[in-house]
Amino acid sequence: MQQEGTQQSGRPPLAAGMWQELGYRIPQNFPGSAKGAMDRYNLSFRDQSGYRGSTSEAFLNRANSGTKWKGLRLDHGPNVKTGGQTNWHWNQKGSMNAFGHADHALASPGAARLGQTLKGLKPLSRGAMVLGAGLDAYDLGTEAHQSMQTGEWSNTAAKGTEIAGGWAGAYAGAKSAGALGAGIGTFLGGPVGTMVGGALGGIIGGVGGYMAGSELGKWLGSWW
Amino acid sequence: MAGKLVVSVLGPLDDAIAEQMKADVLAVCLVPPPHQAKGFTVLPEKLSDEAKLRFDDGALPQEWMDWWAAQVASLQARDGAALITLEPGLLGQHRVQPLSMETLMAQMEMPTWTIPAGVVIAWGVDDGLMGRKVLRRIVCAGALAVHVDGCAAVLVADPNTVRGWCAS
Repeated sequence: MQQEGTQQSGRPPLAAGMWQELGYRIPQNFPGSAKGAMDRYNLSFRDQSGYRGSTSEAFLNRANSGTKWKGLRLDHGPNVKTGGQTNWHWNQKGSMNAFGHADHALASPGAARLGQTLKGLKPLSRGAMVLGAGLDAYDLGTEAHQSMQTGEWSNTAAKGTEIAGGWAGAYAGAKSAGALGAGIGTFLGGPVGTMVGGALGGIIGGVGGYMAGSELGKWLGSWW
Repeated sequence: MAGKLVVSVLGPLDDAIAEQMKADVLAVCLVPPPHQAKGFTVLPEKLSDEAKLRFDDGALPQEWMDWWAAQVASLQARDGAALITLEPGLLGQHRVQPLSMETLMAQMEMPTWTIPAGVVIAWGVDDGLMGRKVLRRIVCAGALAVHVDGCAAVLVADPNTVRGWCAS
């Protein structure tokens, strides 16, 4: 119990790594491929189909498109429109009316910079999240070890509640702030704005959510 | 190798680029050396205005689908002809199944079609692997893999086969 506070200090930034594992519902509707229809999209930073080896870094996935993916993604790989040269480009299927980017269209310098940033940031974020989870598991183990010696388990229960609150808060915070950020970003700057807004919202929401969730968990844990 | 269906909207890929893509194919298939790589691609600038609109909206050109169908028809007769497709999951397993037109055409709508070497036609594959999911590289005599977001194909085979493919 006496370790609380000092052990928490580095944890919220690690929980911020959760942003790139989540999907964010974009509040706005977009013009559909059929005349007069509107489509919903969600933002993700991983290929949601579950296949390894995607060369894309950010995805605007059309909702309810089944196993056949439809949407827009920011891709780094060989491009058919530049003779197979590797570059940052957009890949899209059935979302031309929504975002205005043709399939295999070269990305703007800004979009390419975003892609490059995501490519570097995502593995670091995943590593941070795994490290954060590991440190939390270690803390819980330490409390449990102490409880086994004293026979008093309230400290372990309190730590468990605090950790669970932190991760639940990080999830809820990242999801809600990421969706909000994606919505604001869409309003300000098209698909690149959506991706930047979603990522920033997810990171900030993850940190804030972890802190708030931990505090709530700590408060609940004090009742043990 | 059934070059009759090749029309003007398709053309060869730069050899240096095809050589770079060879590594992606060899990560899935173990083709015994010596081997060469040759690529074939959609040429968007040669599409008709109507076809270009469809291509810009993510549809594959009909000529490209016909070209793949011709490859299947040609390679199906070879011993150990198989369709190797990436399976979902972190391990990156591949499913090996007997080559057929239907299974290949179904793949064109899947996310695997846009992943480098996510779909591979191979020949000389051990019959014992058919219908199985495989984690290791699959030994075969030659492989024709999808690449460039599903708009190019890379052949990796012995130099004689590659020369014959180019001549056809």
